[in-house]
Amino acid sequence: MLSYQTTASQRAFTFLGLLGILLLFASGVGQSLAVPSSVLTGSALSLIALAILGYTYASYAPYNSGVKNNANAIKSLTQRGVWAYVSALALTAFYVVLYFFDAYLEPMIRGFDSISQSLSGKPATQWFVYGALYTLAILLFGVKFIVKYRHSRYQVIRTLSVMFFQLIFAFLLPEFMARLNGDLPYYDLKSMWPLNYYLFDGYYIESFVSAQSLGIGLLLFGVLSIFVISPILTYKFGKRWYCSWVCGCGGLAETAGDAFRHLSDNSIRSWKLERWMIHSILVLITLSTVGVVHSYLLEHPEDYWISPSVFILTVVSLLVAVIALIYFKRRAWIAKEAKTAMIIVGVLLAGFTGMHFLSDTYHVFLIPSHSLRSVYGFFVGSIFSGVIGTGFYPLLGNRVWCRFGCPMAAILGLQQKLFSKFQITTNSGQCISCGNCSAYCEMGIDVRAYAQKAEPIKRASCVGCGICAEVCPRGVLRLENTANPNIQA
Amino acid sequence: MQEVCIIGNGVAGSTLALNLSASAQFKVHLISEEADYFFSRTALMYVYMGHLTLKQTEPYERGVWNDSPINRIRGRVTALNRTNKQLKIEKYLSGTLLLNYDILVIATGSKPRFLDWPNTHLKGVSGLYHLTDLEKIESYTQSHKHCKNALVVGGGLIGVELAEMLHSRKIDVKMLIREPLFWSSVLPDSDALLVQKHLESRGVEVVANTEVKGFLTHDGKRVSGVELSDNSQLEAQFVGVSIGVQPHISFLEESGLELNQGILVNEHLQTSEKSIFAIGDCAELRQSDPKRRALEAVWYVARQMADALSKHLIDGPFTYVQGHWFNSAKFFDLEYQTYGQVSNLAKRKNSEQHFHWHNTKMTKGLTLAYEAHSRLFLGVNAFGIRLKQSVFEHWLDQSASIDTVVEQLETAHFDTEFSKNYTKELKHAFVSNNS
Repeated sequence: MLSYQTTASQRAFTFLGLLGILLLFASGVGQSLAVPSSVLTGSALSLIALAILGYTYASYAPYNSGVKNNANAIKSLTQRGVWAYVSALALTAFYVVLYFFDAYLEPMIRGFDSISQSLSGKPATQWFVYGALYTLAILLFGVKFIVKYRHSRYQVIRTLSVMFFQLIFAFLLPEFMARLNGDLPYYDLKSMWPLNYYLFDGYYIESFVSAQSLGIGLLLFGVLSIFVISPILTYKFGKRWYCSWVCGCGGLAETAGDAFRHLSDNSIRSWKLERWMIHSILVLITLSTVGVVHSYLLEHPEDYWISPSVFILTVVSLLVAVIALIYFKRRAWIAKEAKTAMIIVGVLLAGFTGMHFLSDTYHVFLIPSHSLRSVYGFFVGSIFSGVIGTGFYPLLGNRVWCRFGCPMAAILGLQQKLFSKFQITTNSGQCISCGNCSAYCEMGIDVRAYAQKAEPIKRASCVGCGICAEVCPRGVLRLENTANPNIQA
Repeated sequence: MQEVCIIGNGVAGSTLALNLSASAQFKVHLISEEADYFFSRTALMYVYMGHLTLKQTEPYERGVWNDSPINRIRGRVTALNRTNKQLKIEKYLSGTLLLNYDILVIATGSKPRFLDWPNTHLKGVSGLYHLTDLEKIESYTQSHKHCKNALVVGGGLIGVELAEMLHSRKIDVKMLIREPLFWSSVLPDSDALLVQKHLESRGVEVVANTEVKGFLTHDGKRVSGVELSDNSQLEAQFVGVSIGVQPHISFLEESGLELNQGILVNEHLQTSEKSIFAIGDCAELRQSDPKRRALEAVWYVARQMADALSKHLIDGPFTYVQGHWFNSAKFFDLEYQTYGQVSNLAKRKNSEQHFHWHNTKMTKGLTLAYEAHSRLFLGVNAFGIRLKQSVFEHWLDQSASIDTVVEQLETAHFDTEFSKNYTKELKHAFVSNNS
């Protein structure tokens, strides 16, 4: 195979970017040189911005708009070559340091103090730095994505949307809110439980409650988001309204991760693995959240109108209601998925019952409740969503977390599969089985398997990014909100 | 249980094999000289351009084949013995095999057509059809330093694919075509012009009214250019040939099967021999639909033939019906879809009227064909616009009028969401055209 040659300007901008990253991490050194670290940080960030925008210009400006995937399957960085391993290692190392050895980042964090002060009036923390870099990545790679797909209005508008939600909702608003009301915890309005798994933690609820009406309003919004708002929007538009238009994890995957979308494994084996993993995590987070709230209520019997037993009973009723709805409306699906569904529901019910009998103030199933939570936080919250989810972009594709780990995606996926007007429609028998759709599906859906049979695609995992329809050379696929939700594919 | 031998694992052979293997009546043997696993031939260009790996072009996961009862044989059929119902196969890397069949299906596809030119054997000359063609093109154009100029002889769909492939490696490409406009042997001039403008905007020079006399060489091994019919010469380190394809049936010359250009078949896709069928590019219909051709080397046709023959073999007599013509392609960034009949200048009768519209940038265009007096809708060519096949088939079935089609055009809309709506402009043009 021919080794793919990048142009001189692409190489120059890549070098510039690496220099910027180096400078960012080395900003601590600046203090000894008597250069203010904020100046160094500012220059480092400008350099990185210049590099990404320059690289974008060099890569796409000389060419006409259209699908630009040349050499993706050949280049070292995008086909699991040496550069892919080097980048994965670097990204993973960054996450490990960020989560577990943040003291090493201290000099770099201080460089962000002035930005943090101007927003929230507080000095920067490691999470502020992470949020700032994350937002910068979505904005800059968002520009790259928009330039690359400038011929498609769907892609342009969708990307502007994720950039907007990241900048305003995830980054700026929580900082401003903290300035307005110091008691409020950091709260990204668009991040729902169970993605935001600590929403119902005791300390979190307490800080909401202590922030009085605004805090309680936000807590209520959190509950409404998952139980009312998300089902309605998913019914109308599919889970894409969240996963590829609003969500920050999705936002990073779509923009910074775009170059790696074809690395997602689309074998039947990985589909099986995906379903077991994502639903197990959903069960785990549901049990542990209910457990945490349950023990919190046991601990504070006087403070709340709802008793632990009533709470468990409410959760069980809710589950029964959902099961009844599925039973009466989607029997065909139950016939296909009965075994798995039975296991999931069985585990949940056993869990809730066990919780009621085997828990006291500090224990859920005789396990200390805080340790259940910290185990989830460590393995799912940190290792999976961060270290593997983002660190492994260059090796496993850009949606590993969304596909195998995100409990929010699991819930929205069930809603999408069972009660949604969204589907990808196939244009009759026009498919030539070329494989571009399947290869570029970041969720590893074998789109072609449906398209070549002229069937519509109704998959729980589809995030509606629309790239399959872009790369199809025959115009065979179209994302639509007009399907009959009662007909199951 | 009947032994079914299928020669060729392209879309026709593979689709048939999978359909038949689902029925317990058949033991299926699928023979291929070309590849172990069915891949999408139409995607070879994407492998060269680095959009896909060859494995990603395989329409079914390898497990589907490995777990199926289909006996896949990699080898070349060298002889067909009709009296004993036996095939002789030279197996890939491992000797000769004799295989008996109850039913034989020939699905050997096409091969690139070459004229009687001198020096076609030179290194640096290739068609684009077979997997080995891709390997040859890869080695001939390996480095930009050694291959700066390339020529594509002939227009058509494979010609454009070749041009786009070479262009992606920054090789300078000229297309040499016999016609006055690109693909005007098929497209009406308005459409041919639209496509040609697009090719030129992508940096491909289309040299019209040109025929090639032969290939040139400096060292007797590698091609160095071509000589044109006006005796002028063009330099090139690679020459792609795409003047069409022809059925790949030379191994049947002694078989006694009735052949014309392809293998002659009846409405059940049966050859002159009762137990032998032919499907795909290599099958030539004895009686074809007057609106269609007897020999159609198209992906969709091959798949439809395979589906029709599956039904015939599994459930008893089933007739292959050609139906409404449809096809699609992509010329660099310009998508093309066609439903029904839109004749080019040479074939167009006086009664066939065309309404053509395109936007000012010439990135979208539509040609609607209809009968002048009855206003019966005949067909559509769409460029840069995606249209719903089911809606157009419905209109063709219902003998809808051109006015109905234009009026209800939105219902056939298949462009991605938020795309700019062109129909208002188009309808306006249609009304002023008719008044």
